[in-house]
Amino acid sequence: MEKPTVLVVDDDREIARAIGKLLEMEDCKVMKAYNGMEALDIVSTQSIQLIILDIMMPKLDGLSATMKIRQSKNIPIIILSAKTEESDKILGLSMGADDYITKPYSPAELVARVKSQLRRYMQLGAIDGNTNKKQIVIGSLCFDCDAMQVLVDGEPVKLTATELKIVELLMRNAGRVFSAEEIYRRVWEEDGFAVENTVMVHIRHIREKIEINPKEPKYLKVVWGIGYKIEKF
Amino acid sequence: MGIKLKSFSRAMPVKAILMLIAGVCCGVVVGYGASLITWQQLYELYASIQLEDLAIPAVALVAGLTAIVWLFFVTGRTGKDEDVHLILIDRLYTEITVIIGGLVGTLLVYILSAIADQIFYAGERVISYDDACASIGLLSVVFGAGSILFLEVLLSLTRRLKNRTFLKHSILYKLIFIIFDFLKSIFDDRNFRNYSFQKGMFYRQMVFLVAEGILLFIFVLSVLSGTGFLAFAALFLGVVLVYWYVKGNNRVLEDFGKLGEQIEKISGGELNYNPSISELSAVYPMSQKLGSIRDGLLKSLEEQMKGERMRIDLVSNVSHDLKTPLTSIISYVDLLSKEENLTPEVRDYVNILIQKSNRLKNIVTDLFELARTTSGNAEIHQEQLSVKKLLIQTMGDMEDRIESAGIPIKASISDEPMRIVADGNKMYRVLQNLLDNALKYSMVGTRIFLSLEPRGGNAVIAIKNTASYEMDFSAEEIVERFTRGDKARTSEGSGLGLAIAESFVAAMGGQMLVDVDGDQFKVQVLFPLLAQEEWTEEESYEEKEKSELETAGPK
Repeated sequence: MEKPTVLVVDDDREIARAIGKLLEMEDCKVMKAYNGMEALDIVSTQSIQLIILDIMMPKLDGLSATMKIRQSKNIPIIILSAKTEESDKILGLSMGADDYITKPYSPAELVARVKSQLRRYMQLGAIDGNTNKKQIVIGSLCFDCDAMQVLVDGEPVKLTATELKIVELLMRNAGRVFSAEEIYRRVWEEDGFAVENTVMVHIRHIREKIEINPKEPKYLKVVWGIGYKIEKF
Repeated sequence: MGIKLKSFSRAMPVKAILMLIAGVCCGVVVGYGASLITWQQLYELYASIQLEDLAIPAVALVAGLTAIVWLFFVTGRTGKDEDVHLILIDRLYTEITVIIGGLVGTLLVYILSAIADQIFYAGERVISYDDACASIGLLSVVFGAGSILFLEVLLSLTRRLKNRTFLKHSILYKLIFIIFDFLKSIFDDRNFRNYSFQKGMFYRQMVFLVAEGILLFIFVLSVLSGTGFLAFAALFLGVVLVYWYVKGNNRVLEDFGKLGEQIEKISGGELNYNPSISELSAVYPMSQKLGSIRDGLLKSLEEQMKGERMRIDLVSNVSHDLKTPLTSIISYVDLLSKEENLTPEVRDYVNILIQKSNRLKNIVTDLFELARTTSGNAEIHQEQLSVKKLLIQTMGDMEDRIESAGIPIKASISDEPMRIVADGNKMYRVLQNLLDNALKYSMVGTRIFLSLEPRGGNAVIAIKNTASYEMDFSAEEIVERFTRGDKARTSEGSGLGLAIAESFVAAMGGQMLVDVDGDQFKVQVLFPLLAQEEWTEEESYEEKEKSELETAGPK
């Protein structure tokens, strides 16, 4: 298979170079840009499978660049930024980015996220062709209703029956918060007592299986003091 | 010898004895004198009066007079100083004392006349000599007692004279003083000379009072002299004057009301209010000054906001400036570690670099988190949470960390449903920080105690652990930024954990208390409990959207 080309955009040359090296070690072809305008240039002229984009750049910042790229291309974009507030993340994602990593990042995590996005992108073609398939797609997560299985970046994940039911419930109602009691009632189909612990354990296991970084989950989130949900994208 | 006598003569007991002597002597003189006269009336034998009969009354007279004179000299003076000392009875106004004196005097005169009656009756042989003497004796006793009282009244007046307060302490004097003072206050502008507003009001009042006084005078004169027209004119003018004065006063009151409102608005923070006080009003200058105070306030507020904005920009700018080189370091150290052909020594160096740069990353991240929260800049999304759920979720989330630390957590969570208003994510961070802290620094073999209970209107989360090192710091110190209990440790924490927890808790409206007791370390987090009436329905998720809820099934 052809090596995917990743465009790394950051006005800090050393960081761009380090990321480039990191990705080359993971079998990617890397191109670099140092501001938003250069990025747009490259995107329009070259075949790119993934963009890693810094926000604070001269000439054209990362968010505007994201908006512009999204006007014509569907390439996965990972935003890399020093801004860590929840609102910054939401802003970036709502502009059209697929993922958001904060600086300083852990190189291992960056690599994992890149790979995840690439896998998804590659699979996208395969999935699109099969319109008969009933699926719920949220980001890299895909719930296959017919096969009754969960795929992460196109790869099936081994979940227990209970875990599967929980994921299905949360994915079908993505964005809604469910309390532990509610989850228990719907999945176990009986009223339980002191179910918080039980449900939490299952949630944790699911997270470890589907999230790139279970400590910083992207999809299956705990709404502290209330319940759980799967984020809607 | 002279001094000794002086102080002796002024001593209290001596005075008391003197009074007694005076009273007795008066009684004796009167009594004896009266009975002698009665004898005379009866028997008209002047010649039979012996010298011996006169002896006792004479002695009494002399003694009495001496005592009285002595007292008058000595009254009001103690042996201790040269001042005139007053006693309680002296508190009465001079006139009152005189009146009392008059009354007592009248009583004495009455007794004397009663005695005189007795003498007369005896002379007329209406009563016997012995009866007369008995009554005289009784009356004399009363006279003696009464004369002590009379004497005291006179002494009181004497003291006042000696004190030079005889006049000053009279009612008349006080009355005159009040009137004088009042008149003076009308005309004396000393207090107001510097304040144009008060001065104006003061003169206005003075003019009014003087004019009214004159008009009243004219009115009275003309009424007395029968000039009806003049009287009427004076009356009329008087009324007009009152009208003018009151109207003016009301206007000023109104303006004061507006001024008061202006002050209210400024103190209430509403700095855009402009009162409608006319330029002609006496209150106008004051209103202007208030206006300039308000302007000053506005300006300082703006400056403060500007300062805040600059600080926020600084924090985020510096944040960016710090994180960028740090990112480079971490990236390149990582690349280094991926190089092959490193000598074991170099690999060791690289590992150290990785460890340290990660530590630095933690500190920087925590530091900016803390800065943002304390500057009030962090986003806080307050919502209703169940504390119990929060705790269980957190513990479940941290289970692997708990297991690997090997320190069991004993939780005692109240069954009572408790809700608070806080930011879920931040609460999770707080609890995570606190539990992490406890796990990291607990002695192996001990347990961590976690409890949740309602107390005094608050939900209280308490985490207690036994420290694995000597805690020679105070509760405040450990929460201070960068203080770490075990100073020798080089693990990954940034030392800001407790400080961040505290600032998060404070930002959400709660309270965090740290208590160090020997080896026991206790942290408590308190949040006000939300009253059940204010709970939003948890069921709303369930009931409201039951129909909308999708479940697995054939489609």
